Amino acid sequence: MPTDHQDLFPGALEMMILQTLRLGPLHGYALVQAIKRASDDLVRVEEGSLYPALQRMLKAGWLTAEWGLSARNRRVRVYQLTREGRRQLERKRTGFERLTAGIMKVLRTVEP
Amino acid sequence: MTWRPRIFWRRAFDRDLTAEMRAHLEERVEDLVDAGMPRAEAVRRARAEFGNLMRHAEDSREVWTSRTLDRLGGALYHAVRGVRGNFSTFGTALAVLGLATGLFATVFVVADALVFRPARIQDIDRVVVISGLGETIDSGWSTPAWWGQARSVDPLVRWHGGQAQLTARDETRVEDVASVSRGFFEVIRTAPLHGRLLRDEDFQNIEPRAIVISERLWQRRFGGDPDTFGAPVVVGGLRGVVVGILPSTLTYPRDISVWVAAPPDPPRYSSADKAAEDLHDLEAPGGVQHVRRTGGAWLGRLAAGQSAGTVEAEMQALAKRLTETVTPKTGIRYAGSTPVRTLGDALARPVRAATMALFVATAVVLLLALANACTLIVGSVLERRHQFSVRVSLGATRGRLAAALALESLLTGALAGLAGAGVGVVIFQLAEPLLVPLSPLLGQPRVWIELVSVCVLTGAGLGLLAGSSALLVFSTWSDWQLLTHRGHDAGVRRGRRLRTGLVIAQVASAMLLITAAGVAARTFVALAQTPLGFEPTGVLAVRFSMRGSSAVSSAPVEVLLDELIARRLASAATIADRLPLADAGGMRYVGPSNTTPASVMTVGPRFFETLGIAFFGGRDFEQGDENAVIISRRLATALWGTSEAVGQRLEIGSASTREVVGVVDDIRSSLDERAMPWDGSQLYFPWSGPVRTNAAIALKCPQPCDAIMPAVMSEVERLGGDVLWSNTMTSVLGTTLAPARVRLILAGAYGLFGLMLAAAAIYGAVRDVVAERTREATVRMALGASPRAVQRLILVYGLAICFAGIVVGAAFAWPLLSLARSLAFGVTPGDPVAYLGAAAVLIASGVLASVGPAAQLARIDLRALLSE
Repeated sequence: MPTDHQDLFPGALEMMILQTLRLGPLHGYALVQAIKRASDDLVRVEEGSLYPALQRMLKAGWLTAEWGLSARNRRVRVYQLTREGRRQLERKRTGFERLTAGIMKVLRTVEP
Repeated sequence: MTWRPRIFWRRAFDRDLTAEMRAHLEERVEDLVDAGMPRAEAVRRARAEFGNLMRHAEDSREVWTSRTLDRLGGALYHAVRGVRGNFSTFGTALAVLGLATGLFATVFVVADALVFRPARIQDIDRVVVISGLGETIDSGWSTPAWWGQARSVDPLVRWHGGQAQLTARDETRVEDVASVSRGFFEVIRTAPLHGRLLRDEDFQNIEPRAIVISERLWQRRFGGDPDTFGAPVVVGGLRGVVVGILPSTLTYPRDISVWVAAPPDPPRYSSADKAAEDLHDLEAPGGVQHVRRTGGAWLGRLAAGQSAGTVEAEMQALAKRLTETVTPKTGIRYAGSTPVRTLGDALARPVRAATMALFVATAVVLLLALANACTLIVGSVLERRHQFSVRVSLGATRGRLAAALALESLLTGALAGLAGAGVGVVIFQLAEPLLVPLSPLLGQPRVWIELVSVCVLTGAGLGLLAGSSALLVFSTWSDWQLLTHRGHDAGVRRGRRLRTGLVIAQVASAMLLITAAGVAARTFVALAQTPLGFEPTGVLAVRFSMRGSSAVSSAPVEVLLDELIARRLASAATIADRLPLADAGGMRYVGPSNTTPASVMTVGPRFFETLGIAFFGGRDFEQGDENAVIISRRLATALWGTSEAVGQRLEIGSASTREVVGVVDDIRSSLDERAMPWDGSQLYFPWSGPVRTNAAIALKCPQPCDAIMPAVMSEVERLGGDVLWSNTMTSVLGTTLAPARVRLILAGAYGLFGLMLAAAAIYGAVRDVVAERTREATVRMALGASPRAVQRLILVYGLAICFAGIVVGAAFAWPLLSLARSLAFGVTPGDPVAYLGAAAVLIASGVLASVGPAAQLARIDLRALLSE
């Protein structure tokens, strides 16, 4: 299911990026591929959404970026999670779980 | 590299982000190739998946900056690149706009000081000038208390100005002194720089008289010494004491350095009978003795609900009542006051026509320069349409392209404003010696601030207008047309039509300016050829005053003149109260019922011989001719219908008649008779009595006048006189012609500027047509048309533009020149010679501008073009 970020709820893209980077530093393309794999191809992050989101997170101090080399030995910018980024991930995850739990309760409501 | 926002980081940011995104794309391509896809297909697919790289970069950058600022920065970046990439276009536009802006700002500052705000006086439109009030037909007597009854002004004050001797710190020099009545400073509402203004009690004391001096005099004569207050001075024979210093921003009355409290007012009269018994002169008793009177006026601050018109009506009613009562008893008739004007209007009136004509001409030059810049910029937009297509295909939006185009022009306008400020400063500095005498305001530092501000604002305004013309062309292209070039031709044609219109506007402006130059030239010639009635060549004029308050009899002066003749320094010499062209003359009414106006001069022996004034009948004055009069031919004709007036008795004033002993040629006191309608109608009295404070001598020089000037001046000083002024009459004539000469030079310069821009515009338009129609011309020639016929087509195009501009320009020139009718002399605003001359000059320049591009067609390599 190719998905545009507009179909995600606000903050979902950031949460997925933070979660993916918690497993280790990645560059932009690798990040897209990792999310795609992790979601069993259900979520495809568009580059037009990815790079502005990365800049927002850099600006917020959740990530840092360093130039490095890709597996193909290509010069790429590698993003890494900061401590603030981890805290932010926890906050977002908690908030998301409560939200989904609430939504699920609403969906399971049986009409009298 | 630190990953932080910083000033001027955009370039580095874009570079890094683009590199990062390209790496992303390449990684994707490699993955697809590894999956078995051909590389070309992989590249295409990767790009399609990625989308518009530039837009992603822009969205990313906007995280760090304000969207508006970022877009503005981007537009500015492209605008700077656009200007740099088309430097010849924008550089030329900048030069033309800069020159016109500097010129316009200079003229604006001058017009502001002379016409728009001629004096920095609070509520200047509530101050009225009441000229001629209180003056009588027969004498200079005035009745201040009588006019004080007026209720439409409160207060009503007066001042008389002139040159008087000021002794301070053991040094005596002639200064410009004004005697002002109580309430003067209340009317002009000024505050002292130091000390105080004149108070009511100052007008009660004859001596020591309270005086206020200008800041300039304080610096010049007292070295800015704070102890100046209370310092004893002698002004015009009166002991005085300095009580205050006025700021240099006070420029009314003009050139005055010393303000003295006028003598105490007589009691306020309630009836004309009482006033008639005590007719009062401002100078006596206890007034300042001026060596030369230069002017004066009655001023009033309008009472609530009053206007200049109501003041005029009230003053005329008062004059009528005074005349009805006083004239039967004294024979003195009171003239009604001349039109009452606001002070601003009165100050601006003498220079309004010339200044406004210059202002309008400069505005035309500015519009011409704007049209020229618009032509260049529109041409540049048309030439760059391929460049716009590329940018649109790379993701630039229509709005961004438009913003960059507008900014290009705005940037050019702003730079032109700055360049104009430089031009304005240079022009102003060069013209300062001519300008400052016109208004003291032009010599003040704030002028520079005004000049630069006007330049920058004008430049920005022109930039916006020029940008609008570019946007006008750009707006005719749709997004699709921008991207594909399809259907572009209609937009290009509209752009070319606009450009042709701008070229016609330039030719029209040039037509207007060249016609004005023609009228100015013919005016100058007419003025220079005006018969003067006397021979100015080889005549030296010297004006002097006797030192102190002593007057000498005329005998020593006559002896001096005889001595100068005996020493062969002069072949003829004379004395007079004033000289033609050099001095403004007094007017009197003479003849039956005293209704014929005439200029009055009092002249010594040999006056007519020295100035070469021809006799048409009768003789010169002789001994014992105290009650004789010599008149001019014009006056004789006006009085008796013939120039044979010798032996007639002439009524002068209400009480005396004199016998006409001679009739002489009419001499001119002014070259333009409209300034003095009675000019040429003269009345000469024989010199009698002592030489008072002010007189003039004229000498016919057998050798160059400059050579004998020092000797004459030392002889006058030996006699006890101070030379106030000396000059040759030829130079005086030159000075009289100076305004017309300045107008001619300015009009000529503006006309030349207009001609150059119009010729350049025609050349550009014809060159573009040649470039666009070369292929068509080639086909025509290949089909048998002669190169000459094709060239003729191009020439006809150039001349058609020229003719259209001439017709439009002539249509505007007539009404505009009619507004400046008062500046023309001996020529009408519709003068066919000026119009035909301007048209001929423009047609010639149009032909010259078209011949070059048309000739290019003859050099076409037909074979090479056809093979393309």
